[in-house]
Amino acid sequence: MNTKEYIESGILEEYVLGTVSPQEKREVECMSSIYPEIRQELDTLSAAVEQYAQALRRDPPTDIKEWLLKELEFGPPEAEAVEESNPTPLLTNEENTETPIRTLNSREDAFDSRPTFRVTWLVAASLGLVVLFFAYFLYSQLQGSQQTLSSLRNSNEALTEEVRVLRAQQSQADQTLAILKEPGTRVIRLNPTDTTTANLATIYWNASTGQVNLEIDSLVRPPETQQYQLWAIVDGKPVDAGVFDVGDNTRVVQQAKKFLKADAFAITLERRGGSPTPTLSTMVVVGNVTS
Amino acid sequence: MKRSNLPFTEDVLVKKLQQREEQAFHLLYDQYSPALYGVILKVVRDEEAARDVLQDSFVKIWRNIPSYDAQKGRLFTWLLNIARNTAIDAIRTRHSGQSIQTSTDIVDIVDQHQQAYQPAVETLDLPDKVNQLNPDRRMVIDLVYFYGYTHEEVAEKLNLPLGTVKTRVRSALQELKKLFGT
Repeated sequence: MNTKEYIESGILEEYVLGTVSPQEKREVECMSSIYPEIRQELDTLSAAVEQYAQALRRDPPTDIKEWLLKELEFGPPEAEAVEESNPTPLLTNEENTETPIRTLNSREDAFDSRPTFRVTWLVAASLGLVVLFFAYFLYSQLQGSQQTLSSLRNSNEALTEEVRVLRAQQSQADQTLAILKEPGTRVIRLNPTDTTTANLATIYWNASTGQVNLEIDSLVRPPETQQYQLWAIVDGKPVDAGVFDVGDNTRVVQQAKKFLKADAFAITLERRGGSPTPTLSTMVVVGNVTS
Repeated sequence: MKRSNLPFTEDVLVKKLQQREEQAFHLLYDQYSPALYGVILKVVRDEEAARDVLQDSFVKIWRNIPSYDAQKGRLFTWLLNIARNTAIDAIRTRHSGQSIQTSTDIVDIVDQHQQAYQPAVETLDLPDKVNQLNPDRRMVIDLVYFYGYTHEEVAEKLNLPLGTVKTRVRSALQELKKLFGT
């Protein structure tokens, strides 16, 4: 806080002249209690106004003081005052002393010490209530924020998971694209033999390098005892091109064996580990190179 | 000046006042009532009304003195504010119904302030100092402090931009501060 700026802002002058809002008033009082230099300036300004007021002094009519001495209450305030403050109330009570009924006149009771205690208790009790309400308010606020926090955490987790899946898919797509971009790559759709569903797998075969990549589109996962086996039909004979698993995230499988020549590709379902000759009855898909 | 008149420090006086000691009341009244009365008279401009306001002010002072906190400001300033506010309230209730804040009234107030009250403050050597105040600045202080105008009202009445009023208020008080340099 730059006290010099604060002093020069003019707020202290407004305070001294009494034109500040209640909030600004509290602010000035707070600031002046913290910063001695602000307090100093405030006192100097107040003193200047006081001097101005002194310049206007006029003697008031003398009877005002007498009136005040009669009207005002002297002696220590509150409970201790009972004895000493008696003379003054008595002046006004003389006519009332004969009337014993006092219930309606609550003003007089206020001079008793008991209501002071009652007031103290009332104040204490209402303060307690206020604190209680405030605590409850804070508690419900806390609960609200905790709920928000946990729901945020959940949605954050869901988003992270989604990002992970998307990233995996993206890398698969990149892989496929890279294969496709390679010159000489041919795309062979493997169509289902029973013509029920379409496009179960795709072969990317590069005739010049012999590289065979297999993309699993929608092959069903086989039982643990079985495995899919890829075959290349070379000169009318099926040649083993390796077994593969259908995983959760792997879509593109690069086969180790290379074929520089092939007429068609087929996938059969075989025992785990593969089979030297294809079981034609379990052939799932087939695709001709020329097609 | 005022402190030298007291047989003890202001702190002690405040403690005694807060105990509602009669002796302390005498000191307070003798010490400050002329200045309070002068201020009230300047605001209400009527001796009959001024005496009522002075009485009311002391009743309020006596009632509120237990809550006076020296940490928050000087005693005399506190007393002045009570007297001034009571006086301003009095003229507002007196003039409620009629509109005190028409432009002719303000000219009236300003005129009276310029003519009637400057010669009236002849009691001490201080008025010379007050007269040294730039009249424009003094008028702004008087309007704001003694008649309770807000800055906006002063701007409207004197036909000045609000910023000018604020600057003038500040420089007026700074000038006052220099004049009565402590």
